Amino acid sequence: MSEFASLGRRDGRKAYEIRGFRCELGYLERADGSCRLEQGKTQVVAGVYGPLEARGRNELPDKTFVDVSIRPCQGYAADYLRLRERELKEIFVATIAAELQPRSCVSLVIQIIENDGSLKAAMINACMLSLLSAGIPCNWIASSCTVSYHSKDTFLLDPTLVEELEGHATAVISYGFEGPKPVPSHNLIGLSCSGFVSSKDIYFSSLSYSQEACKKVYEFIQLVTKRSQTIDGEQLSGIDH
Amino acid sequence: MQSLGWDVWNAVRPKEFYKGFLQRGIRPDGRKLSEYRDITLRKGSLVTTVDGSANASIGRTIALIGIQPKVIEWKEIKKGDARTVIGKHCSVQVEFPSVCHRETRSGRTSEEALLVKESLEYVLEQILEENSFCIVPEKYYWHLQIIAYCLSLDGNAIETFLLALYGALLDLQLPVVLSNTSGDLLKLDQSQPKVKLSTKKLEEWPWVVPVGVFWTSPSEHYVVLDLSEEEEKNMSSIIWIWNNQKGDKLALSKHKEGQLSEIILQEGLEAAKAHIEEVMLRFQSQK
Repeated sequence: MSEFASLGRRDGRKAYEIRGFRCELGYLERADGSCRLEQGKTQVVAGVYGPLEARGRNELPDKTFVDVSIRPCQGYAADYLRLRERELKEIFVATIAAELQPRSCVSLVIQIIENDGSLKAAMINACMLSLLSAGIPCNWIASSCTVSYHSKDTFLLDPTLVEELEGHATAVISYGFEGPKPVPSHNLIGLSCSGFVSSKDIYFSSLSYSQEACKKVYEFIQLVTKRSQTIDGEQLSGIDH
Repeated sequence: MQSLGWDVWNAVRPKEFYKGFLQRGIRPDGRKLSEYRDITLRKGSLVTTVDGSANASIGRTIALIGIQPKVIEWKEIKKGDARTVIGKHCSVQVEFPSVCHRETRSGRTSEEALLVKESLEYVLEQILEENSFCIVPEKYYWHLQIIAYCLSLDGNAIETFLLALYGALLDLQLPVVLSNTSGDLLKLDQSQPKVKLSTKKLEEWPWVVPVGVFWTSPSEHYVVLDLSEEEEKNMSSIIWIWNNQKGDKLALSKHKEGQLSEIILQEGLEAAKAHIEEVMLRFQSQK
């Protein structure tokens, strides 16, 4: 923490500062809910289709089936994206109130426009915003943040691509806030790590910093939904356009 | 309870059935919550077509890994699109053939196989040294083809694969290769004994412990190690805890849809620590 606090990062942020957000709800006209999210230069478009009729194997008698599909900015979907799809699916299966709409299917499609670091966190945040835009009932609001671990026991929140490549490990941590069933102490809903962190203490201190950052993301999401409501009530449902 | 009652209760309400056992500090197969099934590792002399192999099993989960070294030219390495330094010198292929489980179908690589492959690649990055692959600098290098099969799946596949990988790496012996003065021609020197691949020290090798968390209410949860396949279905979340003996290679990743808190993570880490210590000591004593 100390090295970056004194030297500063390339874009002038402190070690625990996240980049600014820009978001546009209802970006895709044909989707039930959609969102274009910019986190710094990382840009992601997420679309939600649902609740749809679940077909064949996807039909679950007591729950909603969640399907996630990620498209990269170039080329076809490689194997490592299939693993990211699975991780996102696990987070959103828990987030969506699945018991309310059995035998239905919610399909999340994410298109990566540009990757400048913290891509998976941006995808999770964009999906959450598009679920809200579609009006699908959720247990909580999921928000996510990336931590990049560097040498000399330092870590950075919301790294850019260059900072991510310079670090030896990257972790994406997601928290769920508020909702009809609030359990404030047990709100860690997603955890993944590529690479290895050098000590337990650094890891747990990065968890508490990332929880603060995820709270900021949650406040941003609240702000976006409140603004959508006051400006134009029809924009929230996104069905007629 | 008679045995018929057990099966019916388990089929109708599996989580309640399992909870009844956990509350008494034991599991349906008689193990304690942090007790492992039988772990066995057999190195070498199994697969004669490769230079390093190992067969590992934890309970009824069996994994077989074979490592075949090949000589590769410098220009092929430069052409390749491997993302990591070690990735240029190793290629990992993981398969879960349909023989391993009645629900597995052959064909498209399953997600579980991709997950194991990604994890093994991260591990190799940590334990191998780049300069041990060089035969003639800037001309010829060793390339390890690592092929992993799961022969039987009953939960905890990643740890079994890791055990087999470590066994195969410790068993691997590279033949001595001589080159002529200009470095163009290579000749296999059969007269010299084979050498082992040089790797980082065993204390630095990371180990993974999949920890299952059975969450019944905000105030009640149980931490269970070494899950069999049935137990994996009952868990609310499974955390893969990576660490080494020194404690300086930590990574945590969560699978399944449950909710966690920091207290649960700390408990999981404590439970995993004792097991990692035991496993690495067994490796060191074997070597």
